[in-house]
This record gives sequence, structure tokens and C-alpha cells, in this order.
Amino acid sequence: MRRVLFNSYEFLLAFLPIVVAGYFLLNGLGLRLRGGDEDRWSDKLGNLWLVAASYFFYAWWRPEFVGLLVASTAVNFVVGRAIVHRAVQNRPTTALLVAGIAFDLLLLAYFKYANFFFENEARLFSAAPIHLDVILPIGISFFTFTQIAFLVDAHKRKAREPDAVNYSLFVTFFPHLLAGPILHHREMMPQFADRANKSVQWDNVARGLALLALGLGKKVLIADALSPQVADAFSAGAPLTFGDAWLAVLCYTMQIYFDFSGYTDMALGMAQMMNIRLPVNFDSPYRQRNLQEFWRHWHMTLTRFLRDYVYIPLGGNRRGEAWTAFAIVVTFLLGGLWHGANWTFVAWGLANGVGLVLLRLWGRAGIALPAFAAWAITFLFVNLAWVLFRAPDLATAGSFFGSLFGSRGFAGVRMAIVPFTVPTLAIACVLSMMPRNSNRIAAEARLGWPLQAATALILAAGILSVGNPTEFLYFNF
Amino acid sequence: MATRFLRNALLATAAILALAGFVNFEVDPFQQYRVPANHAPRFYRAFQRYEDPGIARNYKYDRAIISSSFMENVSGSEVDRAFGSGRTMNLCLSAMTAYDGGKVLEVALESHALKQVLYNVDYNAFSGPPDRVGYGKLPLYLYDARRWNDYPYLLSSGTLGRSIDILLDRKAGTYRTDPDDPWYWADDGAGFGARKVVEGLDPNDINARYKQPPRTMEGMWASYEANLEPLVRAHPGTEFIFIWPPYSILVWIDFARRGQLDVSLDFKRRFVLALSKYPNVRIHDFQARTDWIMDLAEYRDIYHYSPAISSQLVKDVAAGKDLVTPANVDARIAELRTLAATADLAKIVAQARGS
Repeated sequence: MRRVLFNSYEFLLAFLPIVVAGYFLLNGLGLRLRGGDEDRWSDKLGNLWLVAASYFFYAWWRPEFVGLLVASTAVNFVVGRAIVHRAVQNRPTTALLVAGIAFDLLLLAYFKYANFFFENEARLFSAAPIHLDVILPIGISFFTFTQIAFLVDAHKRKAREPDAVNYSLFVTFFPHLLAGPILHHREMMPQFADRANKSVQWDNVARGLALLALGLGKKVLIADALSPQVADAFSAGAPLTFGDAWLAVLCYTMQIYFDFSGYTDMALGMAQMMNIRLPVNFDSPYRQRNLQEFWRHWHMTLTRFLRDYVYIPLGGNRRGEAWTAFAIVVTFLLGGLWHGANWTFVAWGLANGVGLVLLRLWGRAGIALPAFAAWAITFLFVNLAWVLFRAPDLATAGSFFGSLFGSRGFAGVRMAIVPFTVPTLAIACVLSMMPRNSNRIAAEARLGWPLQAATALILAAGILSVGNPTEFLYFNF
Repeated sequence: MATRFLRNALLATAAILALAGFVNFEVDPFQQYRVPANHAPRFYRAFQRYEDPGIARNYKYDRAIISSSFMENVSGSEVDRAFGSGRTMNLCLSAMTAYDGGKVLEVALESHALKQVLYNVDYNAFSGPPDRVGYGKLPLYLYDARRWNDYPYLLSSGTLGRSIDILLDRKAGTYRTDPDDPWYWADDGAGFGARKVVEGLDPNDINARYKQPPRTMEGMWASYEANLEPLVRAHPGTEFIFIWPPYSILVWIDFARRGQLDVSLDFKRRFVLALSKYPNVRIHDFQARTDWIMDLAEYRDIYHYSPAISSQLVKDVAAGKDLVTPANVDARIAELRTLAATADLAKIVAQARGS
């Protein structure tokens, strides 16, 4: 059983071309079969194909979890539809909403958080920990959150009655299924239903391919090249030197950005090839000059979800400064926990929440910083916070911070530097600060020979790097 | 404009991939399709798991060495001399697990009518689940007979880099070129010696440096049944010579302190009893050879011994010495148990540090 990632031969050379071609062929067939406007099923052949392809994509990872995805989609669809029906009749929908959200959260709790809870409970009461032998279904946080948002909006009369095929596609659409972006039904359902999206639009295919190539390059040529240095540093048995720790944290800052935004670019690119616009998820976050702006440009769809479905329902900024600070910290604590069941993620969320509260207080003081200083402080804070995100436990994070702040002296880099780390890091730093990011290049650049050549070279280099041999490093026995 | 973009970009991508695949197939730096005729073969120890199936498939030999790093210092020719005939290929894999070894051995047995297999038995190789690999992921696409699924090897910039090195005769990376001792490491400059063995060793936690996981009989036996026994049974025409290698005494002290001694020795006993019923099997046990295991000067670390011991071991195997059978296995195990119980760790470490 293998997890099919976008950066795999099977996906890039077989699955994606077949799915895109099949989508447009079936849409064409549907158009031909359509006798009249009322024949809606022929319109959905392409979307049905995408649903089937998405389930196949998920099944490739672990076929047994397809049932979970089907159950989650079906239950939320039925509950959501019932909420919409009752809402139209002005009947109460709260009980259904609570039941639907409880179902979603129970699934998430069981698969993602149960062992974390039991481990901490056992530690707290000095008891033997209970351990559930569960595997975390990949993408569960993403498909759960998109559906919770749908239920909430249905309850608030902001959602229309969903169509079964389009709803399934909204949840399972393979470009976003594993790692987002977190979709909102309002922006997706109309696109899935729009007949104008059913025929090939060559400009979208071309620009989608360019974005896919850029994303693949970011992921495979940059993030993956930085990964071994980061892994070495965070798994080193002995404490790191000052230089080692700063090199590692900078590498990780770039690795996580190029990895996640590269993956997202690929998702957006392949969706665009099929005339589907997924929401932008990253917009040059490391260029931002304060933490709030950073969060408006980093994993933007998660920020949007947390704002709309956690922060604002908590009261947002409508209940005074103290309550606002409380709401921000709680929102980011939950945001941290969403990333994984580990105290390191909680600490990371807390750090960002507190950072945003401090930023608000600074803003009230009315002291403006020079642009460079504002950028440097923001970038430094984000770097330090990533230590919490990457460390396997708080003790490792603590040791890392000790090295970063010179508690063991200020020695330079002592650990072995993995080949190509330094030039890759330098390129990554420059690219992350460029005003034109991959989204803008793919959207705005002329489709002339420079973009053609760049697309071909990056695509080929990316594919050639997908399955590189893993060097065996067991030389010290 | 858009269609021209797509046509040009996709054609150029396909052309680059095709060129890379062609160059990698023709140069074949990991020897998957042929023994190189126009350049010296390069045996990259860092990529053993990629090269070994090709070597196992394409070289001519009738005797194979299957082992982790313990027998990497054994050359094929010295085995041939010791046995008086034949042609031996060293198919070792550093940090080999039973699964890794089974996969290489499958390729060797499927592609050659082997007279003998020298199989080094390491307890740690049988720890964990039966499909545990020693490092990263085993590139299984190179271990099967299918060629169409070799695209990760052919469409790889890592492979291409080595192909270009060969084409330009560039000596990049660490590799050996003699098929007689492709994985030899004893001349790497790190040396051997008692002081080296105990360097950085924590006497209170000997395993801290090696991080060997604990083992269970169920787990080890499941791995044996999945990875070893079926091959012995399926190839009655091949003689399987199993070798229990001479770890230093410190390993037995470590096993005893970690509660791993009983499971290890019980496994050995069960192994000997189970395999002795096959007429194509003989088993040699050098683990209680005190002239070797007490002499830390001949070791690099607590596990790995010198080429001098390796060479003598090969001669003793060829001469049929130190055979272990159902009749003597209990006595040998008792001997090891006594050695582990009576060894004075503090004294051994102090002597080694003062040497």
C-alpha cells in the first residue's frame, strides 16, 4: 500500500493525464448525450468521473479507509440536506447541526486525538496508558473541517441544498483531499455546476500546467533538498551548537514553506487545468511585516476557517480588548491542535496567539517601526515558532531554543552539512522574498518561450528528482 | 498561444525525460541490466540496496555471501581459495535485515544455480516485523524480474548524475571497482583496536551507541519463517551454510544487561533445531570462540571484527570447523551463557582504555 502523492511518477505520468483527459472527454460525451436541459445526469458525467478518480486516489493510500471517507461524506450530506430542508420550512435545525458536528468531531477525536488524550490522562493520574491501535486517516482534518463549515452555513441559512454528485466532489476532489486548501462550499459548488467549465479552456490548461510545474519544483527541488539537514538536526542526539541550530531552523523555515506552498501550487494548478479555481493558500508570507499579515498570507484557507468558525463565534473583537485577546489565543490554540495531537503544536498555537495579542497591544501604543525592523522581527518570530512545530517533543524544542539563544556558547556550524544545502537555502531565501510568487507568475506571465522553457525544465527536473535513490548513511555502524 | 505553450512544454519535458532514461539505461551505473563492458564497474556502498539486485542478477558466480556488514570485508577470491573451487560473489548489505537478505537471495537463487550460500546470521536482523528493512525503503522494483517498473531508476537525476560521472570518467563519490571485494570497508582509515571499541562507550548503557531495538521470540521467528526458511526449503540443490558471527564479549554483556540474552540464545537453539532437518544445511557457530571474542584489539566496535578474523572464519567454515548441531547446541549455548555471566565489564573496559 503506497500513499500516492502529487510528487510521484504514477500520479504525474499516469493518473493526472488520464483523469484530466477523461474529465473533458466525458464532459464532451455528456454534452452530446444531453437531449434537453432537464437531463441533468449527462451533465454530471465529468464530475462523476472526478469523484470516482478521487476515491481511487484515496484508495491507493489505504483502500480500507475509503469506507470512512464515504461514510463521512454521506452522513454530512444527509444531515446538511435535512438542515437545509428544515431551514426552508423555518423549523429548528440546531439539534441536527449538533448531531452532525458531533459525528464529525467524534471521528476526528477517535482517529486523531484519542491516544493523545489517553497518554496525557495516564501521565496525569500516573496510570498505565490505554493505547488504541488506530492509523490516522490521511486528510481527515481537511475533509472534516470543510464539512463542518457546510453544516454551520446550512444552519445559518447560508447554504443551498446540495447536489449529491457535486457535494461528493466538493469533499473528495483529489487536488485538495490530502492537504487542502480547505474549501468552502460557496466557492466550489457553483464551479462544479457551471457548464462553462465543462469544456477545455486551453489557457487554463497551460497556466495550470505552469503552476503545477512551479509547485513541483518548489516541493522536490527545494523543500526535499533541505529536508535531510533539518532531519539530521532535529534527530541529533547531542545538543546542537549555536550555528547548527540557526542553520537548521532557517532550513526548516524554508522547507515547510516550499513544501506546503509547492504542494498547494500543484493542487491549484491541476484543478485549474480542469477549469476549477481553488482558493489561494499562500501569498508570499515571509515578506510580511507583522504577524497578523503573516497569517493573512500563510495557509490562508485555514486562517479563514478559524476566523469564520472559531474566532468570530467566540465573540471576535466585539466584546472588548481582553475578550478579543482571549478569543485570539483560544483560536490559535485550537489551530495548533488541528495540526497534530502533540503538545508541541499546542505550544506553537499558543506562541502565535500570544504573538498576535502582543501585536495588538503594540498597535495601540502607536509606535511605528521601520519597515525592515518590522519585517525582521516578524521573520524571526516565525522562525522561532517553527521550532515548536518541527520538534518531536517539548524537551527537544527546549534544547533547540537553548542552542539558538547561546546557552551553550556561540560556536559556528559543526554538524555535517548535507551537499547542496547551503546553495538551496540561499535560493529559497531569495525566492521567498520575491514580490512575484508562483501564483502570480502562472496567472500573469505571457505564455511565451521563457515560461515554456521554464515549465519544461522544472517539470522534467522535478520528475527526475521524484524517485532519487536514498543514500545509505550507516557508515558509523 | 496556449496550445503552442502546451505542445512545446510537454514535448520538451518528454524529450528531456526520454534522453535521461536512455542515458541511464545505456550507462546503467547501478549495473541493473549488464556488467559494464566499457568502464570499470562502480560499487557504491551508499547505494548497495540499489546495486545488489543488479549484481546478483548479472555477474557470474555459483556461491553467494549474504550478510550485513560483518562479511563485507570478505573477498570472493579468498572464499574460492578456502573452498578450493567455485566463484563467489559478495552480496552483502550494510545493516541487512532478514527481509533485505531474503530479497537479495531470491534474486540470486532465481538467476543462478547456486552451489552454496554463505549466510551470516545476525540476531538484530530478525528484530521488528518480518518486512522490516534496514534502511529507508528497499527499491523493490529492482528486485523483481519486471523491467517496465524500473522507471524510478531510469527517470532519476540521481542515477543520471552517476551516469554522467561515468561518461566523463569523473571520480565523484565513494565507490570501489573490484567485483571481488565490492563492499570492503576495513581500509577506510578508521582502524581497529581495543581503545577504539570502548571509545565513547557508556558501560552503563552499551546499547546507547547502537540503538538496537529489543527482540521477541515471536517476532524473530515470524521473520525467520517469512524470509529464510522458505528459501532453504525451495532450493534443495543449494547448500546453505549459516554462520553465527563472533561478536565481541561486550555484545553478550550488553545482551545480558538488556534482558536480551535468553531470547537470543533461545532463538539460536530453535534455529539450529529447525534447520538441521534439511540435508542442504550446515551451521557454524563462532560466538563462543574466546580466542577471538575476548581480543578487543581485533575489533572496531563491539560487533565488527577485523579482516584477519574474517579470513580465518572463512577458512574454518570451509574446513567444517565449529559446526553446531542439535547434539551440541545446548552445550554451546551454556558456554555462551557462562561467558556472559562471568565477564568483568569494568575490567574489560579499563584494560581497553589503557591499551
